[in-house]
Amino acid sequence: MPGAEGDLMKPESTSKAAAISARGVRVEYERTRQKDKLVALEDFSIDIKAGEFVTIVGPSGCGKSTFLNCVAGLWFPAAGEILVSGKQVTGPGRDRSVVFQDYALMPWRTVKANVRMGLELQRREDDSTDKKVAHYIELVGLTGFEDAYPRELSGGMRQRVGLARALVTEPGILLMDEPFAAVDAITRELMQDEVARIIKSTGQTIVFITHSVDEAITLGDRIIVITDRPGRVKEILPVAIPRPRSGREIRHLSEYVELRDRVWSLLAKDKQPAQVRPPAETKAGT
Amino acid sequence: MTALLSFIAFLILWQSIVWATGIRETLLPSPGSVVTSFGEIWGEGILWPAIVDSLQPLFLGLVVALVVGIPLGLLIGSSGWLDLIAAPYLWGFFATPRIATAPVFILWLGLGFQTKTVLVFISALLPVMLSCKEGVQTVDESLIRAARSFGAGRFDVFRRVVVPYTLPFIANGIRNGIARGFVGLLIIEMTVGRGGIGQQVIRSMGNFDTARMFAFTAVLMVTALFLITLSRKLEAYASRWREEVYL
Repeated sequence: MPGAEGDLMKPESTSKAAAISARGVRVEYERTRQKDKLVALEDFSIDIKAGEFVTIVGPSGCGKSTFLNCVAGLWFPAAGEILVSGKQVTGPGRDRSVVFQDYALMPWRTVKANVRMGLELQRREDDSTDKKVAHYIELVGLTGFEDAYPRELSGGMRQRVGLARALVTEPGILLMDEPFAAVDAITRELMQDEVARIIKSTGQTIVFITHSVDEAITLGDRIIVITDRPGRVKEILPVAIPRPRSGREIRHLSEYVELRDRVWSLLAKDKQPAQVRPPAETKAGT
Repeated sequence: MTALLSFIAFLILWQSIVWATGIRETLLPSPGSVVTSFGEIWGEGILWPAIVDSLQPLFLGLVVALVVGIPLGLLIGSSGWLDLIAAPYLWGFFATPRIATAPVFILWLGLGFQTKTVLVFISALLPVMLSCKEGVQTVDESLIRAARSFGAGRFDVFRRVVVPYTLPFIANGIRNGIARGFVGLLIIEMTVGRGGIGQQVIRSMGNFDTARMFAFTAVLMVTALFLITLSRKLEAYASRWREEVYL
């Protein structure tokens, strides 16, 4: 199986050095109503290796999504630097794709057209596009739904479309922003297994944000625990449990339980009442 | 089928009231006399010219309103400062009844065909512009963010996210534009004349020929119904990907 897919799978970045590197990053949002600046991330530093699956866990509003947006090139730090493959991030790029919590599918496009959209926008359509699109639709398990519209699909299916769309551009880095938060609990568990399976065949660097501790342990090679706002790296925990891991099967393992307790104690020490959401980063037309 | 049956029931009711009350012909003509009037109008050959006289300025005014209003509306919606400047004027003119502004145009443009077209134009322009503007401004942020994450620049975002998203709003604006344009047309026809069905309605009223008045009014209603049904279908088609369809 790896061989057949091998030639379609050429991630844009194959650097052996840190795939993603953040140094002393400070990210601010302006709050127009209160006329002050909200500091989302402060002195944030991390190194993520190529091919790693890193999960980022932290309380709501701690800046995890902000970090992801900065790596994606959708937002920029006020101080510090973010490097991808050694180069400063100046905007979105072919080497990075995002999977969004609310799926963000174009409702007027079919599944096929949605999956294709990334390649369209990157002006990379050619003779192999149809084949690629079909391949990734199959990979996420949506064969037969190519001509369906998002409104005809369940939440889990929509997220698979989002995943296929992010994968079809074959980025070296996949950024997933709480992708299963909007999906029901049962589907969520199944999708975790799916993602693990899919990622195994594509071999990309993954940054996966979640506020589910279980999800973080089940999926990650390393867990990065972030403090409450302003977000800083609190601790990085390696996950020694061997793959393949199915959430349901590993739950009782002692390593799992220890990790879980550790992460929870880190999070609990830090608990503050729910914070205000940062303002929208983009406006129509700007 | 039900519509036809209820229409027939309506006719029967109407005829019954006329018989029962013995009301004057000039107040409430019977259905029969309205039909006879129709025949007369047809025979005199004034029905078709009246319809043409009404529909020509209507279509012309509408087309210009769309050609001007859609791009302008989209532009204003895309630009924060343009919106700030223009919005009060847009809403102000929108809220003002056109019957109040019509005399000004009559003064400037005289009583010709062009006045009707202009009034249709300004009546239709504002709903079209406002709907387009609102469409652009309500685009789902997360869709724009998704497009940008794949490297879409301003133009791509506009073409591939904003425009498709706004199409149902544009269709809605067209529907309102048609409705208001029609009213604008009638304002001119019924006040200063210059041909058209509206003028015929007023003329028959002046002659106390109520049956004829009813006949022409019926023509108006059918025309309006036809236009609105067309535009509603267009709107439903444009909105078909939306979860809820506004009709």
